[in-house]
Parts: sequence; C-alpha cells; structure tokens
Amino acid sequence: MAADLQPRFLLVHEEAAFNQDYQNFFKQNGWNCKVASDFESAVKEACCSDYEIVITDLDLLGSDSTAFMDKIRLQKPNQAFMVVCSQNQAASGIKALRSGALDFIQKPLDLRFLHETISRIVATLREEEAQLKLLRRLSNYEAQYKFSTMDLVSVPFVPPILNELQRGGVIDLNTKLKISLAFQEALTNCVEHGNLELESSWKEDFDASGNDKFTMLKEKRLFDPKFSERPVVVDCSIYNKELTFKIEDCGPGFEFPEASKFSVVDEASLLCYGRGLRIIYGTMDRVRYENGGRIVTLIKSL
Amino acid sequence: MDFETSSNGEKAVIRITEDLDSEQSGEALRRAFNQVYESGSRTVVLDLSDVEIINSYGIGKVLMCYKRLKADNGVLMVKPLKGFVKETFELLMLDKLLPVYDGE
Repeated sequence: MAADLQPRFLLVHEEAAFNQDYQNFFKQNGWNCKVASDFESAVKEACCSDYEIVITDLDLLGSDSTAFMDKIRLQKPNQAFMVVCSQNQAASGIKALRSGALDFIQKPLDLRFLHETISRIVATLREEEAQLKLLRRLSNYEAQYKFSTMDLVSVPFVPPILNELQRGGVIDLNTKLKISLAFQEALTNCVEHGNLELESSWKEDFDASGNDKFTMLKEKRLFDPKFSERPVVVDCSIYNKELTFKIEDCGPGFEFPEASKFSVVDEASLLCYGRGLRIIYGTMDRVRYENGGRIVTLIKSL
Repeated sequence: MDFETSSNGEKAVIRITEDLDSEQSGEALRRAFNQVYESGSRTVVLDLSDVEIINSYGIGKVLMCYKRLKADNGVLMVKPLKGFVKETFELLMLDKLLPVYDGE
C-alpha cells in the first residue's frame, strides 16, 4: 500500500502501558495511528481531525459505545467505527454493530489480526467512497442514442454507462450482464414487435417447407425502407441513484402485459414467447409502458 | 462454429463453447442437436459451463431442443450451471423444466 494510501485511524484504548506499543507497531507498518486514552479526549480528537476509522475499547466506555459514537456523529455523521471488547462483552459488541459499528474484535488483542481487520475495513470504506464519488459525478447523467432498425439488427448495443458503472464498482459483472440482457430484450421488442410489426405467435406458424412466418417476414421487412428505416431512440439517465432506460420505437404499439402474468411457470408461453418480458420484469425494479406501448421505460436502483 | 458432441448410445452430450446470444451460436446448437438426435439419442445433456452470456434467442434454441425431445418421449438435461447463465435459467424458471445431469 502506497504511503499516501495508508490508513489513518484513531485507537481509543485505556491501557496506557500498551498504547505506545500499538503506535510503534502501526508506525513500523507506515500507518498513521493516533491513540486516545479517555472518552473526552477521544471525542475531541475524532471531531477535530479526519480519521478513516475510530477503533474504541468498550472497557473505556463502560460498555456504552452508542453514546460515544452518537457524540462524534453529531460532528462527523459519516464517521466509521469499530469496537474492541472483552470476551465476556460479546453482547455489547453485537449492540455496537446495531448502533452502526462496522465490526468488533475481542481481546486479547492480536496486533496482526487488528492490522488485517483494519486493512479490510478501510479497503471496503475506500471502495464505497469511490462508488459514491462516481454516483455523485453521474448524478445528472443523460445520454441519447438514435438508431435505425437496421443498425440494431446487425450489432447488439450495450449502453456504455453500464461499463462505466461496472468499472467504478457500482455494479458487479453479473448485475451488468443482467441489466444489459433486460435492456437488449426491451430493445429487441421495440425493433421486432414495434418497428417491424412482427407478432410472436408467427414463430409457430410454419409453411409447407417448414419455414416460420416470423423469420420470413422479418427478413423481408428488413429490406423494406418503410420498416427498416424507422428509428429507435434510447435515452439513458441516472437520477437519485436510479438508472433509467427509455426506449421509443415508431411502430403501431402493442398491448403490454402486466408483471403478474410472469410470476408462475407457464410452459406453453415459455416455449413460444414471453421470455424477453420475463427477463425484463425479473431484472428491473420498475417497468413502464407509455404511448400505447411505443415507449418502454426500465428503471433499476443502484 | 461447431459444438463438440459425444454420444454413448441413448445419451449424448453437447458441449457449447460459445456464448448463446447470436444467430451463429444458435445455429451451431441446432446443428449439433440435429446430429445427436438423428443418431438416435433421446437423452441429451447440454454442457453450458463455457457459456458466459445467454439471451432469449439462445434460450429459444435450448427450448427448441427440449420440445423435439419431449415430443419423442426424450429428455433434455443440463450440466450444473453457474453464474449469469444459472441466474437467467432460474429467472425464466427453466430450472424446473430441465433436470440437472450430475454425471461425467
């Protein structure tokens, strides 16, 4: 870990004899550790300086960590805490977790274990901070993309914002893939059922040669400018930690089904159609249809 | 693009080595399935362990295999799934339709 990235933390501990040992140990590791040995000086130190984490010994606080944390939070609402407790104080450790402490460790303190625990917690805090910064930067994110129907048939479009959110750690790879799939399914619906005016039931309508009506008409209409030049407009935005995709086609619209239709296993519809809608409703937090089905809005909380 | 197949009498395994999200991979599955079906296999196991992405088109191809086998009293199974593919199968409740094959 680079020197400027070393954790900066306050250790609140009453056993004065050990305090210098702690400081020496962490200084040897290049960490910035300050020790306070009573309630008042700890509160003052925590409020006047910036520490990534405050680690406090419950013996010092008479097992009441909540009052200590609350007092500091008046000045530093986002201050992170961890508590140290005796083995017979586990209940107080759990109580501290309920009051917002990130973890508790039990005595006797093992400096190497303490070092590992702080490293892990600080790394998590920094990741969360980086994600919050990214979300703040993207808080008014808006982008619009316009395509012709033909553009979207040949190359799948993944909104670039999904890659940015994944790189920034706001969503993991699986979530990105799921949102991307739901988006693709909605886009496909707009292209196939909207602009190309194809009906799902035609996939089961075969001619004497075994060709289905859906595929045949799709190929034909992709070469008919009346259908293939119809645009699809995609608006992407982030507002209030909600990622929104609004997709608009120029087809005749369609009767959109309610989410409840997809809550039971329906082998017949699974085998023929409805899979895309099931993916959309199962992945996104909210799905809204407007303008007679020509506009679909997909919303996912981040 | 072609998928590897292995057959042991009644049972055949199709190993899908590309993401099932395109016409090419969907057609490759259809060809591989036709090959084992026409050779008489009526228990077909899909090995999707190399697949990272699947979409409704790919799932449509999997279900096409299911329908043809079911119509002939056969069965379509899948090797244990993982990650995004597993979650997508569960989302579509395909895990209730396609039994898992645990053997080699």
